[in-house]
Amino acid sequence: MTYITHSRLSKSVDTFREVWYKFSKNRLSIVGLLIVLIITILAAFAPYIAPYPAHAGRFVNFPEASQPPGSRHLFGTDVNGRDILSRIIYGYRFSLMMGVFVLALVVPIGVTLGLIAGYFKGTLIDTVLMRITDIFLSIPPLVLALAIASVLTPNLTNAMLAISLSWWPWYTRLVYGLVSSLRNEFFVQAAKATGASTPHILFREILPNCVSPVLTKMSLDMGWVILMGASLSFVGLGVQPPKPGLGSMIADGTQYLPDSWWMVVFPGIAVMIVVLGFNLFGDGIRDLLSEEEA
Amino acid sequence: MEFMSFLVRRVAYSIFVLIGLSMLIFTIVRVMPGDPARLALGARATKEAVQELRDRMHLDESLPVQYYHWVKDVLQGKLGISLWTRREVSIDISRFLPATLELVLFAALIEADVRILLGVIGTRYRNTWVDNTLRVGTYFAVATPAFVVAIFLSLIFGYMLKVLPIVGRLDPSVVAPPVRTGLITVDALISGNFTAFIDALKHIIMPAIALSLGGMAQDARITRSSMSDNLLKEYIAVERAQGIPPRVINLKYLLKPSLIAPVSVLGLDIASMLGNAFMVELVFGWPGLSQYGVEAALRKDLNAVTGVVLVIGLVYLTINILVDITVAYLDPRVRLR
Repeated sequence: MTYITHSRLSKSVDTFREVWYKFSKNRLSIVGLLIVLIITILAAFAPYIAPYPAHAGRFVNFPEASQPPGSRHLFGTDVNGRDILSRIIYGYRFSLMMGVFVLALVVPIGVTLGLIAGYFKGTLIDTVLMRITDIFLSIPPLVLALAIASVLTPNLTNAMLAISLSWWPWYTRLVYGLVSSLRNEFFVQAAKATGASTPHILFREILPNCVSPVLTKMSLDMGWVILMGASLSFVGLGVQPPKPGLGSMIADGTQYLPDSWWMVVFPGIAVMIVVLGFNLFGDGIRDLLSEEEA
Repeated sequence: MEFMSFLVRRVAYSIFVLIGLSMLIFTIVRVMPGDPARLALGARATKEAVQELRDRMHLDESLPVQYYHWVKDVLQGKLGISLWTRREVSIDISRFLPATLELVLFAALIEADVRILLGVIGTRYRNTWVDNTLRVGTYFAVATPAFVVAIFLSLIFGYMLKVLPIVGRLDPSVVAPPVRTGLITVDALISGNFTAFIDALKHIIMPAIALSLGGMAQDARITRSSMSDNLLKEYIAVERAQGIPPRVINLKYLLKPSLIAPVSVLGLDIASMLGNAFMVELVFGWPGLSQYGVEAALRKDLNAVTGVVLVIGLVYLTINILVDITVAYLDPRVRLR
């Protein structure tokens, strides 16, 4: 394998220009980066950017209910007269929050377990950890997340918890595969021979060599976590009303099809764009990090 | 012989995983805050009634003992009473499962065919506008959640063009075929009822496309890239030099080895289909297991949730074994491992 020295990543950030050159060779990566940047800015500054910030909460304005897209409301209004564009911008807030929190929870746990299982390959620790991982992977992640969310009170925090519980095994399996081949490398043997402690070998010697694949997976996973969050929210197990979840906005709107199509079409496109953005951005990160390993 | 031992090991491991899954889902359901007995009987039940149910469910015993009693029941096919339908969960599941299986089966069939077609077209016209259009299209298709595709399809073909039905498996005016397999299209063919067959096809086409689109797009990319890679191999050049017609080379010598990668991800695709079926069935009012599962989840009907998860786990494991066998057929190297 090619993850032999751990100075590669630090070398790769030598010059910003070199990184940008590699990343931008594929035009679509730039599109992805732009989408991600724009959505992040929208979400971060929602109260200043959204045309009607108050419409993100419990707000009723019946005279303007169910208005088609127009100059006052670019994406139209819902049955309560709330501006759909404003609600989408706030919905992005919850979506990004979900992606960040889930990955922040899942990556350390999954990576640590994968490090341990891979390093002790062939022992009881490996068997137990990897068989548990297999069990979690034996059911489609969305089904497991739905089952977990169903026993908890439906809200954003529990939806994040449910997704996290079904997501960590993917990182364990990824890192396990990497570590299984790294553990026999000379630098690990050398560290062992000099009497380095196991935690030191795991986190200071082996972990730095797993950074590129894990970062690549994280950048691609942002989109998938957001998609799964939207799915849970569509079923009613995510962000609770009156807060705007992208999925629950779509679910609410389906009752008023086909006349009030804008209630469904714009939030639907909003989900598609954020997932597309992170997919393209993740592809760019992969190109950037995998090329230097070749 | 080798193949048999490969198969036996594969099945044995799946049984182990299924037992593990049952422990996992049991723990999730029992460890949750709140009293399952109180939840089952509702707030108005008397203390005595709740205590009686607690005894019957062995809730005052330790978790392993509870699990032992639960497994004993499950092995006899008793998954408990659904709080929502007030029927035995296993009866509900046997009623709703065929609809979901039929839907996933159709989605898998559509996906497997179309992605190969798209992959072949992409390779045939690689780096032309056809290939580029396909590539951009697949990016969008992969990024769109299945339930959004489902709604957009029903908006266009159901509401606007009015060419396809929006809800259910069969029009009420059509005489339903006698139930044999539970798959309406198959039952209709068996009984020779072509009106019902056509009507069932019209109902299933949109949900099946919605379920298959994301995976189809992703796999078309994989098929195209693995075909393009194989195109540069020496054996293809040799065949060309021998004057074998390009059509034969493409279909016979290029396609089969290029199918290994896309078939081995089919298991993952079906996982996402089984998950997305929950949303898509909701959109199309498809009376399947997933819709039952969502209803159960929202009503905290824990017996039903447990049953649905176990059955989906079983279906998924079975499909994965089938996928492994297919890959072993396409790629003899796998069997030797």
